[in-house]
Amino acid sequence: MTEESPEEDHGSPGVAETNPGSPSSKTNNNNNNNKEQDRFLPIANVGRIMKKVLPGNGKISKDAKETVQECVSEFISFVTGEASDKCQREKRKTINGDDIIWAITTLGFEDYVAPLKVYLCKYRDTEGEKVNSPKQQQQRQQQQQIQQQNHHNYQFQEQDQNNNNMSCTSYISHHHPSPFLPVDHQPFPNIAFSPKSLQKQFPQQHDNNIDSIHW
Amino acid sequence: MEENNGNNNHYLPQPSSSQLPPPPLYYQSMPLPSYSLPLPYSPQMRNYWIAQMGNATDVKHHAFPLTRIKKIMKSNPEVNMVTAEAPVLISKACEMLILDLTMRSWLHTVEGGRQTLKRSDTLTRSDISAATTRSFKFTFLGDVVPRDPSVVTDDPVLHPDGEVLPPGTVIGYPVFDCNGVYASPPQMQEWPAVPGDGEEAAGEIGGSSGGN
Repeated sequence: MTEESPEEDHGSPGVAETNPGSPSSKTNNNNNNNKEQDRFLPIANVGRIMKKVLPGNGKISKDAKETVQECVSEFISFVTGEASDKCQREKRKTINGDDIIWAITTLGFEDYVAPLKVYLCKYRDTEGEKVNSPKQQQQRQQQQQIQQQNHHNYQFQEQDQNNNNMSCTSYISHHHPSPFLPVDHQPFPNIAFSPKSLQKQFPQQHDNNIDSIHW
Repeated sequence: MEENNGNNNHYLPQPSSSQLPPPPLYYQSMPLPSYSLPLPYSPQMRNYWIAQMGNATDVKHHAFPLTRIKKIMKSNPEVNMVTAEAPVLISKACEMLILDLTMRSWLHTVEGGRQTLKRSDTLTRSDISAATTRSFKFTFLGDVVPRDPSVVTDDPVLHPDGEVLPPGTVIGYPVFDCNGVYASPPQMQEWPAVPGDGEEAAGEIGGSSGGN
C-alpha cells in the first residue's frame, strides 16, 4: 500500500510497488504474456467475490469469470477517464479520491457512492491513527519497504540520543555538575543510587522524546 | 462449455420472498410457473450486498492488488498522477461492480434455464451479456460484452435503432411495466445530455455486433 504519499503519487511507469496487504493469487489466464496479464485483475479474486452472492448450488463458468475480468478493466478505464477529464477541466494534475467518487456518480453508479464514502472515511481514519500512534507507526514502518532505510537512519540517531541521555541521567543522579566525566570515575556511588537513577530515567526519557521530535 | 465444479459453502441468506411479488418472465406467458430455485435477486438485495462492501472493517487488505489497478488506470495516457486513495477506492468499487453484475446475471441464469434447455445453475457469459444489455448504466461495456438482442432494455427512450422490436412496440410491451421491479430507470435529471449521448452510444453498440 502506498500510505506514505497521501497527497501525490509519482510512481514511475516501470516501477512495481510492494503491496503486502494485497492477497496474492494465481492467475488462470491462459495467455502467459506479462502485459496481457496486467490488463486484468486476478481471475481468482474475481471468482471469489462472485461466489459470495450465489446460492450454494450456483456455479460459474470460466468464460463468465473471464468476461467479468474484462468488464472490471473496462470499468476502471471508464471511471479513470472521467476523473481525468474533470481534473483537466479544473487545471489539476492529480486524481484524488473525491474525483473517483464524482466520476462514479456521474457515470450512473449512484448505488455505489454511499458505501464508497463510508469506506473512504474509515480508510482516512485509519491513516490518521497510524500517524499519531507510535505502535502502529512501527507496524507501518515494517510494512513500508521504501521508507525502511530512512527510518533505520532516524532510529539509529534516536538510539544514540538515548545513550547520551542515559549517561546524563547517571551524572545527574550523583548531583555532579559536569556531565562529561566518565562513568567509571565514581563506581560505588553509582551502584548505591541505582534505584533513584531508574526512577529519574522516566522523566528524562520523556524529555528525550521531546528532544528527538525537535531533531 | 467448461464449468466451475467447485461448490460454494457460503449459502446466501434467503430474502423475505413472502413480502416480494414473484418476478415476472421476460416473455409474456400466464400463469407464472412455480419456482424450484431461490428467487432471483431483487434490487433491495442487490443494494444490501453493495452496502456491505462499504461496511468492511478491514481497510488494510484490499480485494485486488493496487499495483495492477494503477497500471490499468495509467494505461490512459492522459492520466499522470493519482493519490493513494484513488486505487483503494477503485478496488472497493470493483468489488461492488462484480457483486452487481453477478446478481443481475444470476437472474438470467435462473430465468434462462426455464425458457430453454440451458442449465439453470451455471452462470455463463450469455447471462452476463443479457444483464449488461438490459441496464443503461452498463452501456460502456458494449465493446466488451456483446448485446443480447433477445433482452428488452429498461430504457425505451434510449432504445437503439435496428433493434428487433421497434421503439413504439417496446414502450407498449406489457412486460415492460413489470421490469420496474428489477431495476429503477436512471434519473434523467442527472444527465442533461442523456438523449443525445444515449442515442450515439446505442448506435455505436448496434453497429458493433461482431464484438468478442
